[in-house]
Amino acid sequence: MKILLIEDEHFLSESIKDYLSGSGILCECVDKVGTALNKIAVYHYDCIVLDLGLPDGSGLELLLALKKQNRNEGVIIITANGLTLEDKIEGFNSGADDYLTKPFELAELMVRIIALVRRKQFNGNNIVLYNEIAIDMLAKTVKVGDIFIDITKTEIDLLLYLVANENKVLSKSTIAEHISGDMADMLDNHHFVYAHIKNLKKKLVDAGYDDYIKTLYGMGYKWTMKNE
Amino acid sequence: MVFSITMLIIAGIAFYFFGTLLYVNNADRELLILKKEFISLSLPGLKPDKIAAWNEFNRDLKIRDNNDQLADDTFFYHSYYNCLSENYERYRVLQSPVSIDGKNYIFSAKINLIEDETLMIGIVRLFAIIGFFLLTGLYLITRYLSIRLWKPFYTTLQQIERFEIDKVNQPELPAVDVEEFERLNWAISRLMEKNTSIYASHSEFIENASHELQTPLAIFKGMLQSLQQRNDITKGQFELLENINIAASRLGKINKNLLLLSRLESRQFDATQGITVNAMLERQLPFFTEQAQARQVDLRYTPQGLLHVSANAVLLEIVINNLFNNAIRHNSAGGTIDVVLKETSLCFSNSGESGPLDQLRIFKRFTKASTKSQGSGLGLSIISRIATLNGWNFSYRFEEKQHFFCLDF
Repeated sequence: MKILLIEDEHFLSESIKDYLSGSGILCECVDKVGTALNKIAVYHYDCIVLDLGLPDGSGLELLLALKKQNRNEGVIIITANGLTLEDKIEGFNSGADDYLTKPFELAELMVRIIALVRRKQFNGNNIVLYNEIAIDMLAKTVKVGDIFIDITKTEIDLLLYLVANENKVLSKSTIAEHISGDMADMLDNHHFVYAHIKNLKKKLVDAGYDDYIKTLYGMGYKWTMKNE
Repeated sequence: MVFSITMLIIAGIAFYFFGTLLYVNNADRELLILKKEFISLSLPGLKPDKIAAWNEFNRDLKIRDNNDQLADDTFFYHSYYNCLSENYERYRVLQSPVSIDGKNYIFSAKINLIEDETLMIGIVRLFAIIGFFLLTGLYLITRYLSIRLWKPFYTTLQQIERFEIDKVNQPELPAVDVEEFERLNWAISRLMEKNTSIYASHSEFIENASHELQTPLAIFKGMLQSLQQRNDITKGQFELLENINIAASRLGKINKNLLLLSRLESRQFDATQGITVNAMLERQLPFFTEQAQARQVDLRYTPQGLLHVSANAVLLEIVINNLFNNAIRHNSAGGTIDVVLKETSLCFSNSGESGPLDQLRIFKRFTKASTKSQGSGLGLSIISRIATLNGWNFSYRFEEKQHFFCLDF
C-alpha cells in the first residue's frame, strides 16, 4: 500500500512514516502544495493524508485538483484547527473522505487509512479480511470462518482497530480514546476497555479460532499472529 | 420639599406674631384717638351729674371714679362677657385719668379684639392653601424640568445597562446638546470601545495560542507513539512513555476545550436548527451507560416529554456529553445518575462523595471539586457559556445528597 503524506512539520511526518512503515505501508512525504500536485500528476496512491495549512497555500487546492482530475484516491484531512461544522462541510464538499484533528493518535490515523482504502478500492464491498476473519464494515457483521459471530458495534470497532494496527502495542488509554472519540472527555475508563477486550477475545476463541489478541501485562494489547 | 414646608410654617408663625402686633398697635392708636375725641368734644360739656347718663349711652366708653389713683394712660387686655354672643370676648382697654370740674375720674375705652384662635385658624387656612398650590406647582415644574434635563442621562444609563462586553455590536449613544452629557457619552463610548477591543484581542489570543499549540502537541504525541512501538523498549519504559502520552492527551483536550470556549465567545456557532433533544440524548445513552457501568454507577433515563429546541447541533451535543461526563466522573462506586427529560427542561442528578458545591465557583473555568479527576476543569463552564448564548438557564442545586444540574430551555 502506498500513501502520500502532505505535512509541513517534518517531525510529525517522520513519526507518521515511521509508524506506518512498520505495518508495511509505503509513505511518501512532501511539505508543499506545489510538490504534492507534481506527485499526484505522476503517481497513483492508495490514500492521501493532507494537512490543510501549508506554507505555499491551502490543502483545499489539492482537493480541488484531485476532484478535477476525477481521481478516486481517498483523502484524510489532518488539521490543527479544531473543526467547526462549517469547516467540516467545506472539507467534505471539496472531496475529503475523513478528517482528524491534531493532536491525534497514530493508531487512529492507521485505522482510518485502512478503513478508507478498503472502502475506496472495493466499491460497496467493505470487507476487511484477516486470515479467517472477515469484518464487514458496512453491514457491521463479523464472520469467522463460515460462522457469523454475535458482536456489538463497539466490539467491531475495536476489532477493526486492533487488526489495522497489527503488531503494534496499543495501550489502554489509546484504545479508550479511540472507542470514546470526542464523547468522553478523558474519563478514566480502563475497566471499560478491559471488559470489551475480554468479551471480544472470548467471542473469537469461542468461534474456534486462534487468539490473536495478546495481553502485554502493564502495557496494553497487541494483535499479532506471532506467538512470543 | 421639606425645606419649603418648614419655611412656610416658620413664615406662618412669624406672620401670626407680626399680625397680632400690628393689630394691637392699631387698636391702641384707635383708643388714643377715642380718648382725644372724648377730651376735645365731650369733656368740655360734661358735668359730674351727667356722667351716669353718659355711661348709659356709651357702650365702649365709660367714666368712673378714680379710686386707683391712676396717673398715666394704661393699656391692658381684659375679657368681658358679651350678652349678645353669650361669650367672653377679649378687649383692649385704655384707662386714662381725666378731670371733670376739678374732680378726678378715669376714662376707659375698650375695643373688641378678634380672638387669637380665630386669627390663628385663619392664618393656618390661608397658608395651607398657599402652601398646597405652591408645592404642587413646584413639584410639577421640577418634575417636568428634571425629566427634560435628565433625559439624555437616562438614555445613556439604559445603554450602559444593556452593554455586554462579548456582544459584537456596541450600544449607540445619542448626540446631546448639553455639554456635560456630551462629554459623558463620549467618555463612555471610548471606554466601551476600548474594553470590547481588549476583550476581542484577548479571545483571539486564546484562540491563536491554543491553535498554535496543537501542532507541536501532535509532533510530541507522534514521536512518543513511534517510540512506544520500538522493540527494544522495556515494560518499565513503556509505562513511563504511556504516562507521558496520557498527560499529552489531557493537554490536548484542555487545549481543544479552550479553543471551543474562545470560539463560543466570538460567536462562530451561529447556525441553528430544530433538534429533538430526546433523540440526541438516546444516541449517546448506550455509550455512557456502559461507561457508568464500568464504574458501578447506575444510570437511569426517564423521558417525561418530548423536548424540541432550536440550537446548534454541535454545541448541543457537547452540552449533553459534558453533562454525562460530569455526572459519571464525580460519582462514586455504587452511586446513581438520574437523567430526567421534560418538555422544557433537562436535569441530571448524581450522587457523589462531596457535599454541596460552591454555586458561584463551579461554573468558572478550571474549578475542580477533587484533585483525582482527570477532567479539564472546563466542562461546566462550557455548558454554562453555551446556555447563556442560547438564552437557556443552567443551574446547580444540592438536594437529598444529590447534585442536580438542570437546563431550562
